[in-house]
Amino acid sequence: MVFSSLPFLFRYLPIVLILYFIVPRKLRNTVLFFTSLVFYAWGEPIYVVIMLFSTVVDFTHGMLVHHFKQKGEIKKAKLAVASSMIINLALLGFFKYSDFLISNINALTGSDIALLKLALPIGISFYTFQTMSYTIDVFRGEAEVQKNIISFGAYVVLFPQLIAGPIVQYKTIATQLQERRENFDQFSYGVIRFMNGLGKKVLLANNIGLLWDKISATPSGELTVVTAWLGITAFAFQIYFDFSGYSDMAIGLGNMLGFRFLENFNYPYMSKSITEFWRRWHISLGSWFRDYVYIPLGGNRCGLGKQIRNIAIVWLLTGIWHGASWNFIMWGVYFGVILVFEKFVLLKVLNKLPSFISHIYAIFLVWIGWVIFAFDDLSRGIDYIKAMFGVNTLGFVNTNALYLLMNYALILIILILGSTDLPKRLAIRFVGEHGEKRVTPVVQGLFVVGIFIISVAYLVDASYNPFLYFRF
Amino acid sequence: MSEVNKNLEAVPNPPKIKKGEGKEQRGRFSNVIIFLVLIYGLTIASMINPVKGFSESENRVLEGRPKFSWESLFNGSFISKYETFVTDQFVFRDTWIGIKTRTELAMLKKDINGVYIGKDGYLIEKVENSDVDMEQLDRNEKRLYAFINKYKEQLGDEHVFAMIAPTAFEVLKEKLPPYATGFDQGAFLNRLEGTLTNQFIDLRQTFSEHKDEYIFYRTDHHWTTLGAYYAYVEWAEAIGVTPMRQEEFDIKKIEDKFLGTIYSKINLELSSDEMYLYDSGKNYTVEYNMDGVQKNSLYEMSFLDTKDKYSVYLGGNNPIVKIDSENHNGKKLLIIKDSYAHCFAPFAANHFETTYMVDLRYFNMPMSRFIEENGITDVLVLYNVNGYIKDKNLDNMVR
Repeated sequence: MVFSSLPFLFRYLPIVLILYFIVPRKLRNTVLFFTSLVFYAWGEPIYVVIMLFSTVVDFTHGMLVHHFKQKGEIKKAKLAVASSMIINLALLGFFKYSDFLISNINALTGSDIALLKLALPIGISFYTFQTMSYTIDVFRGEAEVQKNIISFGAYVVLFPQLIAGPIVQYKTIATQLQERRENFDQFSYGVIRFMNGLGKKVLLANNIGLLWDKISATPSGELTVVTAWLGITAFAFQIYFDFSGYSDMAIGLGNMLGFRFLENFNYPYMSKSITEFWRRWHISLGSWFRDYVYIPLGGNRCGLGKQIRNIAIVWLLTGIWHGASWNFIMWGVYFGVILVFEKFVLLKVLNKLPSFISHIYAIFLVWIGWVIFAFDDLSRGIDYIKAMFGVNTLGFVNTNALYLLMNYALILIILILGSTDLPKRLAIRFVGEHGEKRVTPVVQGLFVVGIFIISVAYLVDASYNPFLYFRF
Repeated sequence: MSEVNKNLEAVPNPPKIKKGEGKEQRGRFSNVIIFLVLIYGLTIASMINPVKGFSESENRVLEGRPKFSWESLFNGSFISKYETFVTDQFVFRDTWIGIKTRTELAMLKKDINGVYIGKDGYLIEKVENSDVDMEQLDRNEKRLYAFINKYKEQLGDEHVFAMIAPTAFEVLKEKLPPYATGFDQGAFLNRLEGTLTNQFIDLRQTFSEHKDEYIFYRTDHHWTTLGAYYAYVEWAEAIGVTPMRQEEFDIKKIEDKFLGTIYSKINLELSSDEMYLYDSGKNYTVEYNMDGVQKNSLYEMSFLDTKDKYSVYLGGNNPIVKIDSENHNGKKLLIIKDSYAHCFAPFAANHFETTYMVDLRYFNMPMSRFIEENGITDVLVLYNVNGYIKDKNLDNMVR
């Protein structure tokens, strides 16, 4: 199920909220566990088995790690961690990467191994990463072992962040699983946050996504320079508003249920370098790789050579995490290279440049990155990049490009302003830092009603409401 | 990576409120109450809302409550049907669609749900190249060519014609928003003219002469009866008969608030239409689908009470309609058509003893057999461009 759908808003959520708040506090994790399974099973009735498997396996491994650690058998504890990681990665590898591997083997050796054609279980990249974080956190002593399988299960299948993140590390919500206190203020904040996300997804991302769908379907050679730039701009905004909208909805729902997740986006398109962009984009993924890959590999403390190696590994993994296809690997490598270059050379220069130039620099590279990301077929991506620079196009601009530009002009302006912190600053101006101003109820009330009504209108007439993370 | 900003991740949400400063968040009750009222109100309303079978305004069958079975649950069909069911049956559905359209207009969108918002209240269907299956189009062109040539030989040059009508998108270009583009009807019609030569009736000339008159509906994808009349004049001249003059008809306004098919796509009333019928004062008998019931009017007036008002003309889409006139000249006309023919056929019927209208979307007999069995003397293929390029049932024409 996805948040931005009528069955979620008008069947699932109302029922879950009633069940959740009607039962005694002790049973709330149980409610969460079972309702989350329904949430997952909604789109994936069979794959819910994998979730349960994952839950049981990681729960047991956590116990084992804890057990061996207490007895001081660190080696065995390490083995348990390794075993947990192997199982998780095997699961992820099997479902996500086996066909990619097979088709590459076929291409290399000329063999003809049949593809498995498995549907990718939604959210598998998110929840395998979460469960791995658990055993590791327990091993490192950063989190207590969870002795209640239902509470642990609730963490694994927690519906707000189940299918599109943020990737919640176990240690972040370990205590919340046991001792959270839902309260009115937090619920109220959750409502605002959820509405914010719903609007971003349904009103902004879906709308501009239509433009990208149209332009990306145009055969190469029929684009103009303006169309190509307009198209990739549309994609950049679609993926940002879609993804960060999902994160907002997740954080909002989490707050309604008494959880506090960490932020996942921080105005990435305001960045002035790629280094900064990756601190602001999909923060939970970056932190995961930092905490569980980069730093364990030695981070930047083992000399330049190793540091570059570590960065390379992290970015290769980041790329491939996004999808089993060469373009995602390329995308990761592309950013890895830029980051190394920035780290050792460019950052010093960028800091001295006027900020609008470094801003253009960052946006330009991110946009090129999105072309690599958007086309599975590398040659189409290359054709598209060529079109952006006037190679093999219908010219600089044509009637159709002007039409699209006019048709989306206002939406683009809203998107540009919306991807900065301007709306937030305006909101603070209106309602105050902590919503303490007198007009707060009016402003927030109008915001909730407005976003909600218009979003529902778009969902009722939903010809276009894609889910972008099938590949993740 | 090593420089990930720790401060940033530490941002808690919600941001902690400093207690004891006398500054409390004020909006919290209103947010929660509004949210809960909206969620639960609409949930209950949409659950008790009676299930509708057919949407008049959208002119389509709505998804009903799906039947549960374990098999349909596991193969996913139950859930996808259930989602469509909830969406299709959502309470106040038409109002929501109207709200969406208003929002799109406010965002300065020039096209909404495949409809160009044109000048003077004209809603014009948007058909893009990417909407057109070029192979299908190619087949359709070849079939038309094969069909016309075959019967030109058989029935004679003056008896076999194709009239593929340009739509408002082509004729009323100046009503479109600036820079609007779409499937190039002009190029398509040029090709037909090139291959069919004299057997093709090109309406572009006459329509451009009359484009300031009311020849296309503003809210519907059809031509008006006046538009059909001008087409009839062109066709009559081609088959060598004298068309009736407008003055010979008693022109009756039968409706002054018609909201057509294109309106339904956006559900927002920016304009409305009038409908007319041209009464020649003659008598006809009409038989629908060979059901043996003889009716003596070309018009099914009861449709004026429904949403589908255009079906007034010859009862809307039927597989086959037979019209007998008072004119006992022994000539029998076959019109292979889409719905553009419905307000055209009443004009044509005056010149033939019998007129058949056949809709290949619903009528499965090979045309060769039909023509032979019914002693057809004249053939007209009448479609609008948008209908013709997408039609998937034209193989019956050449069978």
